[in-house]
Amino acid sequence: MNSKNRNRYIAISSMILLLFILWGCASQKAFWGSADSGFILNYRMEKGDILQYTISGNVNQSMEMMGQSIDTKTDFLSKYSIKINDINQQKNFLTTITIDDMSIKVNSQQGVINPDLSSIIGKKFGLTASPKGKELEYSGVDSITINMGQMAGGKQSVKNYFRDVFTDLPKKPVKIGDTWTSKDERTEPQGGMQVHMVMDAKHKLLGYEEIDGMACLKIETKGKGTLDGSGERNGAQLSFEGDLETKSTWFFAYKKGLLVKANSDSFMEATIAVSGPTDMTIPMTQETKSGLKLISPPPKK
Amino acid sequence: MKRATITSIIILIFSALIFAQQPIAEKEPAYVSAEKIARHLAFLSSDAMKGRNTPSPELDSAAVYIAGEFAGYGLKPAGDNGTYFQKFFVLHSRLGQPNAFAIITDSSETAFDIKQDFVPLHFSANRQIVAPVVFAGYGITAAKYNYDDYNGIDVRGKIVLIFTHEPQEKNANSVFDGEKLTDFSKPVNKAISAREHGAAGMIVVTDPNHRFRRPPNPWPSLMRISPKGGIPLTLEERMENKIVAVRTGKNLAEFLLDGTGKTMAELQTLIDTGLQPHSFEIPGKKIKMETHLNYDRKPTQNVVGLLEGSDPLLKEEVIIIGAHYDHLGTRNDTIIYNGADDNASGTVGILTVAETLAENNLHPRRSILFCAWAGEEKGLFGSRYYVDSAPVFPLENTVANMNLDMIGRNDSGKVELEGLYSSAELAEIINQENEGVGLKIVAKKSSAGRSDHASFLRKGVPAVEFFTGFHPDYHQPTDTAEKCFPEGIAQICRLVAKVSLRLAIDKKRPAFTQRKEN
Repeated sequence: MNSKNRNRYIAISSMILLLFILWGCASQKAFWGSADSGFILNYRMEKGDILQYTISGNVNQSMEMMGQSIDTKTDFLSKYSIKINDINQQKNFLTTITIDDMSIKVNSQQGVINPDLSSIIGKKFGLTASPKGKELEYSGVDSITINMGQMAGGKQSVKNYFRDVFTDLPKKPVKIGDTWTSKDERTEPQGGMQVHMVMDAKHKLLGYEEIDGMACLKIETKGKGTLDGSGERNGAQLSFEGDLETKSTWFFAYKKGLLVKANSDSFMEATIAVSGPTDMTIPMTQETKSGLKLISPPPKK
Repeated sequence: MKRATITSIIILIFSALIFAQQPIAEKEPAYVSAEKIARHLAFLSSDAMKGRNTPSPELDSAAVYIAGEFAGYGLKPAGDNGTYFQKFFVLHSRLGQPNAFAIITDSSETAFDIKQDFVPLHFSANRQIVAPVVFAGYGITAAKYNYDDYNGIDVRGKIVLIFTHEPQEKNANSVFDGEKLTDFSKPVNKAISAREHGAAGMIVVTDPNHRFRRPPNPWPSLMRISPKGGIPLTLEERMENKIVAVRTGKNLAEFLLDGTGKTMAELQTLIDTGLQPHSFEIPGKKIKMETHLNYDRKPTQNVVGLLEGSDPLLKEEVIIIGAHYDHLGTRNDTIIYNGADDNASGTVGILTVAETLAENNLHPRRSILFCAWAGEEKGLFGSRYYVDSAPVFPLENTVANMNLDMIGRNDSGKVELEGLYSSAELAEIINQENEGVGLKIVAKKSSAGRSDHASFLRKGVPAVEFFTGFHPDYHQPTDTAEKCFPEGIAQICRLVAKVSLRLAIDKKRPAFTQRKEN
């Protein structure tokens, strides 16, 4: 039953790329801090703080098979809370993440995939992060899975949806107008493949802006990256390559030490090659728009 | 006497009309036993069949088995040269050397990069050409839509630059079948049209309605990580005297149009707004392009058997009962994908329905064609070849298609049907005939799970797929015969047989209803 394959590869590509929604949104390796001598950007939450965020957006994906276009639109929404349980001697934050809400809807010419995510709502896992936003350790996340259904890759860990809860902040002080670069490199399991991702980003501190009564620094990030992977799924050998461009704007409440808002657009051109028993090469593009917002800040200090 | 004769004729006609409206279920045929179904299933999904890959000797063996069964039931051979086999070719294609593209002006020659700027299309000719370039809209000559991109231009010996897809693609009221892409949008059909107009080459660029910036890469060998053995398998297009054909990115196309005062977006808007071509020769530029591909051409076959209709006129119309008999083959020649449910079960289904209808002397008025398709798992190759290149009956004479794909996991009397939207009358017949069968029918709202019936839907033929659902063994080596339910297959076959007979007897044909997703 061949066109099930088509659905499967739509689903694989959706799963691969949902990762990059978050990566694109949160991993633009942005930063924050103080005035003439430069802002020193650090997360400054306190024990007992609870932050709640939403992230939402859509992914428009086109694949070409046999000369015909197959378009898929994915809408996603999640709401999660970060509770600061403790701050250790290294000033790292020991947090609990609670998944407050989550929905994914994949709409294509082949039908609608609308997985029931109710079983993960309310689930919690642990995350330790540094003041500069480096995510050091996860605990209890592997057992939380999303069942996308047989056609969409089956059970998937939610870990990849919460990879960049904290964004990396600059190590050095930065002034308005300053630019700096960063490089992010990682390998993630996605869609039956180990996908190696490299992102080079250039950041610029644009100025100030007030968001929801909080004085924020506005930072623009432009990134270019590559994704390469290979693996096996349902007996088929898969290879994947993609080239990604992103543009994001970030707002960091530098006095409070909080990420408040982020908007991100990305464009990727990619190819999935499937070999033995099914031989096909599927070119694809993906445009992603996403927005992250702090909806419940901690009590004013 | 004369009055008596007329009265007799009227009574006969009246009786015939009454008979035609009766569900055939009232004349219950003897059905094939579940034991026999289990034997067919065990053979077709046995390790000896090595997963029935397309193409493979084992698939050929399965074809011989199916043909032998057809012969045993007394079906007429409907394939090539009086056989049951309808042969076609598949191609393993590889990029050869060299492949090059350059734009030449009086003062310069600008070379472009493969993959980043252009890729050869898989049906391109192996040669180099140097020629002027003509923008030819979508590259479509469609008399039925009163549209011709080649009107008023001379492309003989030249290279045409054309958009992907077709005019007014985003317009639900487009004469080009609304938002559904017609066959005119296919790259190979555009190449055939370009050649027929005398063009020496074709450059296809993503039209501005779509997102690809670079040429979509179809060649694994151009990837940074080349997959092991990933050689694309394609259905051989019937195309003689090939032309050099490439796909380019938007940058290259805009480079070509630079100096003409026109952009791709403007040209598309002009064409789509007025549904009039805006073709023109691009002055001062020539293109030098060269492609080289290597093909490994292999034969495979559909298996087709005919139960000829009894009515002198209606026998020229046909109901097609189809199922793909191929599966995925093996992994490394050691792990076998037996494909019992997918789709030995459907193959057994057509054998079962064929035996039921042929051996009960039911004499349907219309003809019924039983088709075992090859290459479904590779891209509906067998059914595509049938509808595009070798229909046994003209498609306008094809009343309906029933596609049996994965019908082996019916352990609770439930079957999912996809495509009911294609004909309200066909859906009604299925529901009526099911009264005597008792299946719980679930109409799939989405078009997920498209299979060979999609080839018929594309051609405007009412088509329905019978399917018993996905399971963890889908496309796994664990899809084996003992997990199928022969009694459940038999139940579905009873319904298919009844519906087939009803379609073969009723005077009125089910009408086709177009749907956007078709």
